[in-house]
Amino acid sequence: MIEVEESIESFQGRFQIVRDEIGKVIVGNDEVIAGILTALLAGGHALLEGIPGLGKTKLVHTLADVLHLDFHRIQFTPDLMPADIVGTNVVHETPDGGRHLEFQPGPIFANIVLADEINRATPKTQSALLEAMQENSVSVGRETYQLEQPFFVLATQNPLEMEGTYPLPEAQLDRFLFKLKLDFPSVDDLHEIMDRTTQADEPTVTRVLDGEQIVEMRKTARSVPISKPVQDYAIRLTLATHPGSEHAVHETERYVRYGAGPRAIQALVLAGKIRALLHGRVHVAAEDIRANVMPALRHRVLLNFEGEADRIDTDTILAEILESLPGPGE
Amino acid sequence: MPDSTSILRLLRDLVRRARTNRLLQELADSVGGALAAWLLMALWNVTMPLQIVLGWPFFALVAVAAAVRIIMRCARPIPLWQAAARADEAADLTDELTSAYWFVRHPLEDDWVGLHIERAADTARALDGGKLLPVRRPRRLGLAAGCFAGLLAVALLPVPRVFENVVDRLSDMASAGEPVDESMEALTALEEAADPASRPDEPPAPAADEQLLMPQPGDEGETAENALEEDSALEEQGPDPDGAFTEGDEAGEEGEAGEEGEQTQVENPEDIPADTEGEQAPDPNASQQEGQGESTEESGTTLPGGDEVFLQQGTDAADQPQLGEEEVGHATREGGEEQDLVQGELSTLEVELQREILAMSEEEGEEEIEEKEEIVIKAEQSRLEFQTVESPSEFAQQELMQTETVPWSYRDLVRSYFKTLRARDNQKEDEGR
Repeated sequence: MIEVEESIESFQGRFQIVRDEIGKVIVGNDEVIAGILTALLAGGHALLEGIPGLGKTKLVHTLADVLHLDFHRIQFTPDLMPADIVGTNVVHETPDGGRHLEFQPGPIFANIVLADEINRATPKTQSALLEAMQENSVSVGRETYQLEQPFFVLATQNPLEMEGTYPLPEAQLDRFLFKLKLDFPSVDDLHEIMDRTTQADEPTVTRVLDGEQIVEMRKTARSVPISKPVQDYAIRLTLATHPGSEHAVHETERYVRYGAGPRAIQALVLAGKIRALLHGRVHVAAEDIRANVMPALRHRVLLNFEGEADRIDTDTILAEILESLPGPGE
Repeated sequence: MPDSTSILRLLRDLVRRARTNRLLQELADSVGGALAAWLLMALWNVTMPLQIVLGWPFFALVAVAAAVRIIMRCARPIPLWQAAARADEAADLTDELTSAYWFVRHPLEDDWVGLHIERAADTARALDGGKLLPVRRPRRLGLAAGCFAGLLAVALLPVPRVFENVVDRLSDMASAGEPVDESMEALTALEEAADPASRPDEPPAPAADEQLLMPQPGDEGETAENALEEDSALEEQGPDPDGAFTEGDEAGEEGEAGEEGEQTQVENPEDIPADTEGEQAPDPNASQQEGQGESTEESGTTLPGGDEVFLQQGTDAADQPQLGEEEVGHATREGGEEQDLVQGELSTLEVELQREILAMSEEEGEEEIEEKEEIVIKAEQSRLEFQTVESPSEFAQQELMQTETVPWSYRDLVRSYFKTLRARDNQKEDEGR
């Protein structure tokens, strides 16, 4: 019991340290920062969406600076090839004149990978991330290479500039635990950003967490028990995104083509456990599930033609589901 | 105390409180609903002519329905997980008790689960079931109280019961087994008998002067029904162009008065001629009556089925013995029972006319009688005054429109009864015009 209590306190303390350290550079966007850390501790990946200039890349850089982890950045462009990501076998010439093929790892071999503007690469290149994101391994030729843990992919994309972009396929989107939207900063936040970035001394961060600690925090998060009624609530929430389901709401039936899959339920439960720990609880509540519905499900709900034509936001549908679906005790 | 016991004890306490609240709520709902229904029916009885019986049977029916509803709804069990969810909601516990109860029911050897149950038990010990789920005032208690007050107000409201006696008479007829429905049939039969169009086999009505059957000393054998038929025949001819009041009318009225002779004791029995006492006399139209299956027995009217019926009310003023204004006589049926009757306004001129005719028939010759009749009839006042007399059917109809209880089973009967009378009144009114 005492160990459990200590684990909870340690988890909360470490999380808060990282958060505070990131907060030295990044102004506002507390929910996005919490979401990124949740995705990291849940063993998932995060997709950041926001207009240019909101600090998406800066946020990922800061996270990498805070953590004692390898960080690589991949700028996705239309001519980027899969081998540019995962690496390739190159002919290596030995001093004695011999030649042999040697695997040259790509930028994906890192703990934190920033896939900047991921929707500018072709689907073929985007798909190079699939295996790495799901199985934490990379297959090149006949060889499969394991990625070092923790492995965390942070991708960014611009929702406005659609020309010359390739929307992420559903399979790729489903690999992301969270899709986080960065809002435009408030006036106070803009003042703070100006104060920090236009002075002679820019704020710096220190590394406060290493890979082992992150892996330990992941284990702690997965130890939190969840009761069947709450888990059932998470399942019902996910099923409510499926048209034709008994839990589907009116908006789902009208605007949704495909709903979220089982990965969404995993995301809800894992993120719920982390949130419960952050609130000092040893059980997952329905409130924890509800708090993660938007980032965990918004990119997994596929709109139909009518939804696209009416420019329906998936957040609207999810909000309707949250309002309509009864909780565990209702 | 074990942690799980603390949790379960709190939940069971909450279930008991929830059941108490539910019982109170259901009681208030049922009583409120019953009182509301009662109030609506009472208001119906105040405002509408046809009444709903609100007696012990109704009360018993409502009580049984309410009891069944309460038992059925209160018998539904309240699971503990619902109580846990309720406690979580009331104490803002973020599903702590709900989750802990599930792990109590599904034990798991895990430090995290143990810590969870331990924390939930501490929370349960700190909670007071009375504060989480206090005994609440039923939501519809106000409705029940309001309906009760409304019922009291309706009970204390002075409801006009001016024509109560007529309805009592209808009720007495029903309770005594009086053939009320047959009286209607009799009425219909008499109307058909009075209508030549409904009797295709009947020979054409004789001339009016042949039907002027003045009650002569030697006409004791004249039956009431003959007089009625002759009266009907005269009515078929329409009003006298000269406004003359024919002798046939008079005879017919007397005949019908005799027809009710056994039912109605008029105030001055000596005013009624001997032939209206209902004695059977040689019937000049006997063959016709037999052909129609109708006969007259004493004062009653025998229908084709042989049932004897009595006209008690609903006939027009000419069919009623004339009494003092608003006077109440009493009728004696064959069974010897007596009933109070309400009579309409007097047609004094008509009474006077009858008296004069009767007096003349005893004292004067036929020519003198005719002369006096001519004088009286030509005065025209008799017809005008006669038209102002409110017919008993309208009279009784107004009565029912305002007050009194009509049992459900008699509503159709009463409705058709007055419908028939109204048709007859309208017909006579048209003929009068």
